[in-house]
Amino acid sequence: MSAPLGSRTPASSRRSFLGLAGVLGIGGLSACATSGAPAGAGAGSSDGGAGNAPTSPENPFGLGDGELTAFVFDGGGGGGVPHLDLTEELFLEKHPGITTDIVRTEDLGTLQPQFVNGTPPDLFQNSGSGALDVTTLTANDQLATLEELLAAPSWDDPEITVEESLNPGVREAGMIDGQLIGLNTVQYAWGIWRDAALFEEQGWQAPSTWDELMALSVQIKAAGMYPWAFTGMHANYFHEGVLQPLVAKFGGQEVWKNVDNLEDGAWHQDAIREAAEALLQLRTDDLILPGVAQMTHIQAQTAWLDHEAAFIPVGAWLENEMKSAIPEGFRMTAGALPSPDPALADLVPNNPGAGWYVPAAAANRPAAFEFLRALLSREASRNYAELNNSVTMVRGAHDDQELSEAFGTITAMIDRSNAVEPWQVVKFSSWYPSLAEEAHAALMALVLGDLDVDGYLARCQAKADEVKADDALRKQTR
Amino acid sequence: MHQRGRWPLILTFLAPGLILYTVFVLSSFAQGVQISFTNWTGFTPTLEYVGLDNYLRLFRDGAWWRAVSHNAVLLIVIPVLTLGLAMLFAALITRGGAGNLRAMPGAELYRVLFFFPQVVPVVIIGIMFSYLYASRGGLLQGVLQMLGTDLLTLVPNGPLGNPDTILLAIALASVWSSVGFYMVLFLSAMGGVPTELYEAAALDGAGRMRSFFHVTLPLIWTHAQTALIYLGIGTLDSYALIAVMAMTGTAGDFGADVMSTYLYRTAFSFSSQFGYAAAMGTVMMLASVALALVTFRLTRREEMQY
Repeated sequence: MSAPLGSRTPASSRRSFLGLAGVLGIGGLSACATSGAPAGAGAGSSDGGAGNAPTSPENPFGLGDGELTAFVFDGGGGGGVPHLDLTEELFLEKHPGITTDIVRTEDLGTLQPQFVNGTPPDLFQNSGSGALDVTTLTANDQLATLEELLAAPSWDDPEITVEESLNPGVREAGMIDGQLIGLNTVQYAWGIWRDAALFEEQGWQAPSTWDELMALSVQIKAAGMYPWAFTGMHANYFHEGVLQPLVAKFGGQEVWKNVDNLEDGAWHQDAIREAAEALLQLRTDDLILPGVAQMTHIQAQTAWLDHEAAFIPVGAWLENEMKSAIPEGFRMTAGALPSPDPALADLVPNNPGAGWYVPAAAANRPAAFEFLRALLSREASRNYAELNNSVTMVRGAHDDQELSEAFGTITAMIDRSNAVEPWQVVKFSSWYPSLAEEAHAALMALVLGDLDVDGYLARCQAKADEVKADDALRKQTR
Repeated sequence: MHQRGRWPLILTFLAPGLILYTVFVLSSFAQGVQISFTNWTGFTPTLEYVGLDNYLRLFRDGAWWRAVSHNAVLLIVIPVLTLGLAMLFAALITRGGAGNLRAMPGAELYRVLFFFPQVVPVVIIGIMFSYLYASRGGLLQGVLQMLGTDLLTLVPNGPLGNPDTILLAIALASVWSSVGFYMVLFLSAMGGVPTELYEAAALDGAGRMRSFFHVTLPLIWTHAQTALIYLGIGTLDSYALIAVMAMTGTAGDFGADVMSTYLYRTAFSFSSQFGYAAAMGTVMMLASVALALVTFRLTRREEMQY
């Protein structure tokens, strides 16, 4: 990949920039945020690293010696992303000539000036509230495509490629602007969680159809409990965990494809209307724990652990997140959202996440690729699951892995869902965050506030139309 | 000292401060204004100019005007409550003025107690008030339950989950955090008012109310004016509390979204529109200057000498 950075802007604008700076009397000081190194300089071609070795199935990227710099989001909790220790060991075992520098950080925002200066690290894991906007980075040609990585032989079995060693969905989840940019290694499946012990005690059957759910809701209320809790502060939980699968179960996954592609009237599709009507009933029948509107995810999850509500939509990470607060005898169990269409009852949203990215200007791209290859090894995956109680995208890595009961219900839930059809990641929230924000707020107003179904659909559609008409926002399709 | 000899000395003392101010304050302002005329994404070393596009877009942006209206509400509620309470507490502690009748017993204790929130970081205050408003185990809920009612009956969805109350709930946190500071400011101003004036007023038959409104208030007016401007500019920002208590403006159906939170989301969540966000920043800067000028103009009074 050759120096794509500076080419977007003609040199004249740089001159006028300096001119303006001069006019403002800050000529000597204009070198702060926006005048870094003169762009890219094509540093990251695949022969970028220091000493290179010939390529072989054992060393597909021809890695010799040199340095690997990686930035990793570390959500705190004192963990320090421990699963990377093993990956690093595996990597160094094979490539003793490389020095690794893996920076664990709570805020990736510090990488932004490095991109401006054209000196990004070789690799970064993009999560957390300071996560970088990879869509824009891709539009600026500042991220490398990972095709070479996915086509390389896998770590454990040179007979198959890295891509063949993974579950379906990795490629789709990593596509930005029609290129494979992100490597999402963890399965963030959304389940509807319940306490199996409580259900047994009360003689409740986990519902699989929407009608069964509504019938059970009456019993749950009779037992002095609310059927639903969720976080209203992080409205995306209810959107991703409940609305997205419900719409897909009403009308198929193409419905979301139309929304993602900003098709005219996409929000007025029947499936979205039906789902909105079903969800509005949760409000009118008083099936939602009062006060969830101002609860954070932790507050809502705590209320659920205290048996104030029977169900809560959360991702596969729930057990890990609440580890210290789970009461004795509580049996966390994940299941699919009950479905109006029995054929789609087992379908769950399953979004590959925890994305890794390689900057186009990485000094040592082969090392970055090789590190990711090690990360996708069986050993590293099983180690990840052990430490984090969640499932990676590596095919079959967790088949015979026995961890907690909750972990078992997640893997079973994902397997059943994959048997129905692969989940297609809904993209509009990452492509058009302002639309997602409005859709989340409108959904909360529907299920907690005073919005009706027509009002809800109209609000979402109006924002979608606004986004579509806004030339400043780059459009994408899938 | 010779006239000519003075300048090198003045410059020697001024230069370090001026240089630091220019590098870290003025140049950032200038650069912010510069970026507001571009479509910069925040990732590239180069800029592409788009003229006044960002400003025109801002003018037509409904979400921006919603944020402006919330700022306007805060600009009225916060200074009125904060300065009103601060003045009231200061007057109560000193019984209407520093001079006559001196301080009440325990005044020192109140001084410390009221000032205390000022020492707590804003983020902690935000988290604390979020818990205070919580429907499960919150302080407010506890008190209401003792009185036999329920927070969620009074305020559906809770103070921070209800679009009609979220802004006020956050404003109250802000008032609580800064009342003490302004109280101490007014107390020290009242301390400077000569005792003879109160004695004279008392001889003329003025009670505590009268001597407060006709002696104290006019004499500490410049302090009130300074406080108003300082508080007004802080209120125009209001970023930290809303970031913590309202998910950077998105909670409660955007009921507490203000200019600064909308700016932040535009730059860091909405497809990296740094140029557009810089235009918002520039408008906010102009608004702060305008606010200061208007406040000075509206509150101008004859200066008192004492």
